[in-house]
Amino acid sequence: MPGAFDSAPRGPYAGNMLLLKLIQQLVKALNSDGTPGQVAAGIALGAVFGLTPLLNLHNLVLFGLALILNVSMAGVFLGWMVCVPVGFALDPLFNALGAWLLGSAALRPLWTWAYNVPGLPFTNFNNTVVLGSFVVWVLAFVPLFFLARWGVDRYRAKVLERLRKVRFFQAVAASGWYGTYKKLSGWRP
Amino acid sequence: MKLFRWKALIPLALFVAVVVLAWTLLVDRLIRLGIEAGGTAAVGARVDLASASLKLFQGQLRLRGLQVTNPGKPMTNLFQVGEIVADISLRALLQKKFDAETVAVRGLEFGTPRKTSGALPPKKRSPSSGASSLLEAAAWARRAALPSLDLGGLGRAVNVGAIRPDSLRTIAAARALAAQGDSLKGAWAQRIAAVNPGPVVDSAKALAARLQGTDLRRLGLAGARDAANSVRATLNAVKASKDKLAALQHDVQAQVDSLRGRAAALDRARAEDYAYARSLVKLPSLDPRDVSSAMFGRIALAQIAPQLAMVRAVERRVPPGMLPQRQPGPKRERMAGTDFIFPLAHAYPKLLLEFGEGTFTLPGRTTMAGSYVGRVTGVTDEPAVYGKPLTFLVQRSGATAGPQAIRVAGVLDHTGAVPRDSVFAHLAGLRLPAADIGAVGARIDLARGTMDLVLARTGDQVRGSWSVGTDSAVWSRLGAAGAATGAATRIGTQAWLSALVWRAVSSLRHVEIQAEISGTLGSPRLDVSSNVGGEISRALQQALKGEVSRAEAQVKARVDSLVGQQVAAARAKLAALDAGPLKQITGEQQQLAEVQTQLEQRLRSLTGGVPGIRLP
Repeated sequence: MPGAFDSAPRGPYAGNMLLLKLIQQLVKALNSDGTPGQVAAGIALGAVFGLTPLLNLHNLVLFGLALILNVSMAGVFLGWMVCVPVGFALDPLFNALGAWLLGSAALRPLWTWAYNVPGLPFTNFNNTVVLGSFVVWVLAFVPLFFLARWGVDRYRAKVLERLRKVRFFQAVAASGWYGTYKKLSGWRP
Repeated sequence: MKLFRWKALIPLALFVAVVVLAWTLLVDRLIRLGIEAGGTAAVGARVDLASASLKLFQGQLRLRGLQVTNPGKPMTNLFQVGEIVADISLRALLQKKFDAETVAVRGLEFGTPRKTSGALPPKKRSPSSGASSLLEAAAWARRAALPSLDLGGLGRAVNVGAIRPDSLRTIAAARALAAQGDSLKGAWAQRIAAVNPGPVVDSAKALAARLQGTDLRRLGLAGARDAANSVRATLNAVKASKDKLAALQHDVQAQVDSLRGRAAALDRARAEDYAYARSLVKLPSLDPRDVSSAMFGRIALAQIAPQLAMVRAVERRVPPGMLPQRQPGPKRERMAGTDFIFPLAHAYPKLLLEFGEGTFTLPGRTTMAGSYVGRVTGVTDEPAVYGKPLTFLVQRSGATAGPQAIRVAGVLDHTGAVPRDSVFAHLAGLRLPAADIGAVGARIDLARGTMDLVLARTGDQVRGSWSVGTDSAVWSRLGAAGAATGAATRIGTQAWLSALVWRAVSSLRHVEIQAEISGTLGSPRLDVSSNVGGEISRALQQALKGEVSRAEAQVKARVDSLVGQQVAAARAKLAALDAGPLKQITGEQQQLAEVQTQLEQRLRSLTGGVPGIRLP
């Protein structure tokens, strides 16, 4: 059932819930004990889950990688959440890019080889949207990492102290999710 | 800072364990649901599966209690299977493909009753490829022009005025031929003028004449060398003109040959016009094949049309060759995109059944009731990837009520760009159908006999035959036809024809009918022959004698008078083309050959004339 989790939450309060989760992730990621580099790497890595259709083998591998690598998990979830709407919006572009790549006569031997290699077909690379979005994520990974690291640096230097005094921020920080996260952050050395 | 978060291996391992556990618990259920959903979508009625069991590492899939509803009868199964055991390839599964190396089918039954209805909620569905193929075949069967045995025109003055020139194919063909001749004549004249070898010939002749008898000693070394160069340059021009003329001659000859072929087709068109004109004045052909077609053509069409539909349906489902394919991506909230398929020769196709064998039973007391054994190899949706043709064989192992022997076999070879299919069927001791033959007011019950079908196609071309034979045919007269007597009825009337046919065939117990199909799949041609047609043809010819000959002569004379002028004009233009441009080209080629010979002689005398000196 590819794409079963591709949809955004539904229901009358779906929009509000999504926004609240997004803010929560943002707060957790930006205020975690991780270094700006860890948070930025998490965001860049997590972007793939939002940009590409979710239920594919490459996402499973990358999720395992995100767990093992010493990147900020909150950053991963933040990158994921932020890039879901971006992925939806850019689907026509991904589709066009994927169709161009898959239709290229020069690349046909590569695709034919990959299509007949055990395991690789489960990445669904032969789908135009999957391939286009994955290629865009690969190309965007490094710029996204540096952009995110610059953003986290700026935030922690300029905004964090002011935010700590805001009641809404205090409420989010005190939520159960945040507490759980603080405990789990003990994974990191 | 460390690169890896080793403590995360524990939740990761837990996650993998959960996935494996879920797979173990749910995979059989998912397979069952997948087969039910996929089958239901494909058949258009409910498909139920009692259980599925996958032993992944043993490579075995076992399905039990498969029921496929007949879409036309929701309380009846199209078929049900007790058990299917398939040995599957793990390597193919890793490539997201399905390869069943062997499949054993047990307890296959057709037409079994269902406990619950298998109908789906009504919704608008586009016709499947099989349905559209059947519709196409039915349309062809309706369109097929079969001769008529209507004798209404006999015994009356033949109304040749009904034959209109604008409805005759010969006239249109002759006009088109003449127009093409005119057009080609103009085009060739332009091309001949463009080549125009005249100046080259004149120049070459003048040079040859100038050098005729020239003394090399008077020319000197430099003069001889200049003369030789002039000869060589002129020779090159001559050869270039010859090459152009040869190319032109080749084109002209090819087009003349094509025109000759079209001229030959005028005779065939005229034969068709004779037949058309005969039908206009209600004068039937008494040729045994035409009589057979008129009598049994519809019966043969009804038997052959479904086989042609099957050939086309197979082609739609299994396209030949190995071209990259595109299909819509999976349905999801996000854009589906397009899935590209990249076939590779001798790799696993997406779906493959290498070898399958099973037994099945058709219940009841119908003609086909009995037990059968079936075998199939190479079933795949990508035959070019698999590289081997599909073969199948079904034969009866025990009869309940129908024929003693049934054997159907075939090879469907779609491995190359040109599909090659052949199907063979032999049924002996079959209860053959009875049929009304309205054209002659009789009914024939073929009783028991044999039926054979052979059908072969290569690309778009199809050839085949359908034949039945019986030694126990029973004839009966239809309706009031039996009341008429040959002596009392006017010649050519339906009653007269019915009486004559009755006399000719009523004692005929041995009947053979053979229908041959040829031509293209889109527009096949059917020829029917039968000993019954032969008997009726002989009887009609004997009874009508001069009547038909006289009427036929009138019809032919009328057609000839209408088409003769155009055909003569077209043939005259073709003869003129034969004699005109081709003759002109040949003449100019001869001139060029002559001057080339002269120049080569001069060149030899120039370059070989001075002992010990070779000119460059």
